[in-house]
Amino acid sequence: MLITCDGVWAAPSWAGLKVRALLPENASIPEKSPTDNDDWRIFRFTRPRSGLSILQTVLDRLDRCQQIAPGPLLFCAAQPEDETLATYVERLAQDPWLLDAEMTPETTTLQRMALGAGYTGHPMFIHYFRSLSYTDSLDPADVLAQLHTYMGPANP
Amino acid sequence: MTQGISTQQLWAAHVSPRQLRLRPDFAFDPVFYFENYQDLAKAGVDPEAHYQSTGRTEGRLGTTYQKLRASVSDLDSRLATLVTDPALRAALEANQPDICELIFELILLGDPVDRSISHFSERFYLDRYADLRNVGMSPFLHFIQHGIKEKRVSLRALREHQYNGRQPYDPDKPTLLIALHEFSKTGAPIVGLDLAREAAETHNVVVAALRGGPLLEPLRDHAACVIITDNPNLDFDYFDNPILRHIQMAVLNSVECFLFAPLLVRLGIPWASYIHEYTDYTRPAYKCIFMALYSDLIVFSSEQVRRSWHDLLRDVSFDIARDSVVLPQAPFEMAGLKPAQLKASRKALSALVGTEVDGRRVVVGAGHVQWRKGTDLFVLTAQIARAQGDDTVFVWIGDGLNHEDVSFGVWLNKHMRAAGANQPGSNLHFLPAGPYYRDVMRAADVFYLPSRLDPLPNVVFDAAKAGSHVVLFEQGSGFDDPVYTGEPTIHAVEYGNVAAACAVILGIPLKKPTPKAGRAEAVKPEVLSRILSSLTARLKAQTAFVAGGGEYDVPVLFTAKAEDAAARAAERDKMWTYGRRLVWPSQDSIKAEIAASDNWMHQNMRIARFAVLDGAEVPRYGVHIHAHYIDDLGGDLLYYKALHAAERIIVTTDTKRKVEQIEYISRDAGVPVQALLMPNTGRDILPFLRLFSEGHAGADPDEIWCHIHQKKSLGTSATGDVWKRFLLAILLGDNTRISDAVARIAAPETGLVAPLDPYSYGWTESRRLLPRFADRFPGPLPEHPILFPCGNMFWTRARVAARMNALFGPVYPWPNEPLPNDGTEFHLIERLWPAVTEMEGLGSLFIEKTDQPRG
Repeated sequence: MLITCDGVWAAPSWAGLKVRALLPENASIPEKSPTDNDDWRIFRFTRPRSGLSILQTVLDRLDRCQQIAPGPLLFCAAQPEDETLATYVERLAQDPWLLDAEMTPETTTLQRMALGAGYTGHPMFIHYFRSLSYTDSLDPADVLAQLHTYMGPANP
Repeated sequence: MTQGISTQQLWAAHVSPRQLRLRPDFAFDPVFYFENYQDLAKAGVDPEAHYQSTGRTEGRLGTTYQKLRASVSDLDSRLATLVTDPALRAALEANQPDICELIFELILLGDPVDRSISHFSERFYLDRYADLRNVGMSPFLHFIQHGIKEKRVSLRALREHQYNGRQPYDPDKPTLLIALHEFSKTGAPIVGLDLAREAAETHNVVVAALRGGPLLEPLRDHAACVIITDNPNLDFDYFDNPILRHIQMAVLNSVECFLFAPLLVRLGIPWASYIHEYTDYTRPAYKCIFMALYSDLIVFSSEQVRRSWHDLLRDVSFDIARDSVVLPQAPFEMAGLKPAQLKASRKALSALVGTEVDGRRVVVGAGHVQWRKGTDLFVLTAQIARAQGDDTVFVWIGDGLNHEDVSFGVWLNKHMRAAGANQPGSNLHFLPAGPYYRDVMRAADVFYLPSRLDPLPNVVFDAAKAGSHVVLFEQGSGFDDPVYTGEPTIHAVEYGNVAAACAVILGIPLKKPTPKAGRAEAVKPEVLSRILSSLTARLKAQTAFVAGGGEYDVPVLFTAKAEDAAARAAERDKMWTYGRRLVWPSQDSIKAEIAASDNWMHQNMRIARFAVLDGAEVPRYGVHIHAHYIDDLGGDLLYYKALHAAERIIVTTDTKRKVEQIEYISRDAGVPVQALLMPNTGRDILPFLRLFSEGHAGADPDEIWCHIHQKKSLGTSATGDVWKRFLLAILLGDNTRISDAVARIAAPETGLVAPLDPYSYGWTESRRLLPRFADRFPGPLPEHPILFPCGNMFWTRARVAARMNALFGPVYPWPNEPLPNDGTEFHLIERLWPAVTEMEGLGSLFIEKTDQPRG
């Protein structure tokens, strides 16, 4: 699954479900662009949210709707270069335990995160995100470190 | 000691490491010690050292338990009834020293220790009894001293209504909640039993109901867990069966299960509502509205029932084609009877009614005796048949016959006597429900369904299996549908036309046995699997989601309290995700809705943010206050600066006595008003309109008037007061500032200024009146009014009021009190203000004030 907050990223090279998280500043963007296909899911956030909070909401709601299929997860706050995306796709295909995240230095806001299928396929994966408190103050690094500890290769 | 465990070890086992560090000995509470002995606190002594060295010998007490024990002599026995933890119970039964003190002090620690070891939970207690939140007393101390005597409930009451089912929990199966409104042996709960039976094959089943009943035990056969609670959202978290934490989906069987909606919305659990009820008799209407707003899918048992929901669904922008399906609760199977079966059933019926029925046409009706089932129409039809000299026998089977019931039984009883029911030789007989039901149904040549509104009664399915013809009213039940009326044995006649029904009945031939008739091949019911597959398909098709709660934080299912904020956001997110609407997401969304409408009524509708007059010249204006209740009038006159600045204030009321009181209040407040006596007709709005039709106001057609009222009724709640303050703050301002609404209504292009309501209400039950007035407007009225002065307080001009008067004409037969809660002409007028404003060539302006609680 690809989750992006980029309102104009219309056709990423990503096989499978794609989620566009539209924050208030992108409220005017229509739900479907001409290049969209049925793989897109649109989440309209009526208030500002952190990347981690977006991730929580998207995973929870799509799981309730039985729309989450096995496979890796890539979160991109903004559209990356094509080459960067291609690199992520390749790394995720090769390494089910890939856990790679980029945060903005000062605010520690999640900018990009790649999670291999080993993590996302863990039976507790969704429950883990669902059980996090709904707060924008959580440190993504801590959340991912816990994820690695409890759902990583040592506890598949 | 019990099995070698000391009370100190039990204490350590139940408290957190931090608590243990702060208080290693349960028999001494340093916080209690200092709170009770302020002299020691001020002296700065070490509390525990002091207690151990001198305090105890001085007779000082170390815990709350020790203090309370002195005044509550049976404290220990009260505690004994609460404790649930096995180790503590064992210690208690072994009379281990100090065990009661340990139990008491553990419970006193509060959540979550209390509910893990006992039937008491402070969180539950405060949730249940909001009156105790601000009394400044420990909830447990309140309960143990007073609550038990006051019969306030603890978790025991809840837990006694949690039952293990007879199906084991299988972690490899999904877990499904099936909610019923009660466990009675009536229509919808019996459907629920069928659903549970089918679900048990593929799911772990949790069955929940608002009330108990005889179906409890049969349901336990198919469930892993059964709970009964009349407040699912409040109670659910306190049931301790872990199966409940695994529920992934739910089916709410009947609109009466609407109380499960808050729970499921809060937990994010998707559900299908299986609806068997017409909206006409489902009251209050909010039950239907909640189901329409929040069900992920609505499954109707018949197309007729779905049709009755259409207007309500349209009001909340429910996508009927996308979000609803029709699934009957059983397959319609025609079958026949063997000769012996028919003969035996006729013989049995003859014995039951005391007259020979063999060779005579037998007409059976069935169901609880009531208006809705048309039992009185059944009697009428029997009378018509007898008057024609026909010897057809009419038999009604069902409970509810009660000659003391003044709502129906008294009148039916009179009618039955007049018709000679149950008399020797009569053609009309009544039987209570009983084990002979199958014989009665088999003996029938005709099953007659005179119901006024009946979704899809199981008795018709039974009649078909018994090979009987069925006579019913058009639009009276779900069986008036081509799916069923295409059958040669189903006969639909004009609604309520008992003569037509009788004519059809008397033309139906006597039932003939079918020699080769066998048991109809049982069709495996697949209702639940079809409901769940439809629900799953609906969920998987969802591509747009909303999160964040929007701009207006107003309550629907939940309270306006701070602790419900997340749940309120969840309820709005869910309705908007499905494109439904009872609350507007934002001002922009309203503007977009207005811009998208091409209806004439919306062409000059605008929105502005609230402001106060800032040095601008105040135009001349009058204020009309309707004061049926005058309690708050004096306060309002004193408080609102806009009332002091009014050129004229007219207060209307309905008795001379109140006119005198209003004049006194006016003098007392120093705000001159003209008190006018008006008939008590038309709530607040007709007195306002009469000002203009009777010459009290409106000499100049552009006179500016503000119409307000006390927003009170016998059912007024705190929420109503908050709403009134919301309306008046926008229209008038406050005690120091005047709202700029008065300047806005003075703009020549404007004819209506009203508060912008965060709720989005449609025509609701006023829709039924629209056809009567349709030809009085310049074009068709819109599907949704979008905005109107909700609460019926606004600024307008005399000519707009005159236009409203003209719409209804000078001799309109206005309905008198008491009035229904919705759907009267007065509720319609509330929605028509923008229309008449537009008809005057003026625009409507709605003012948003987001910092003012709406309630």
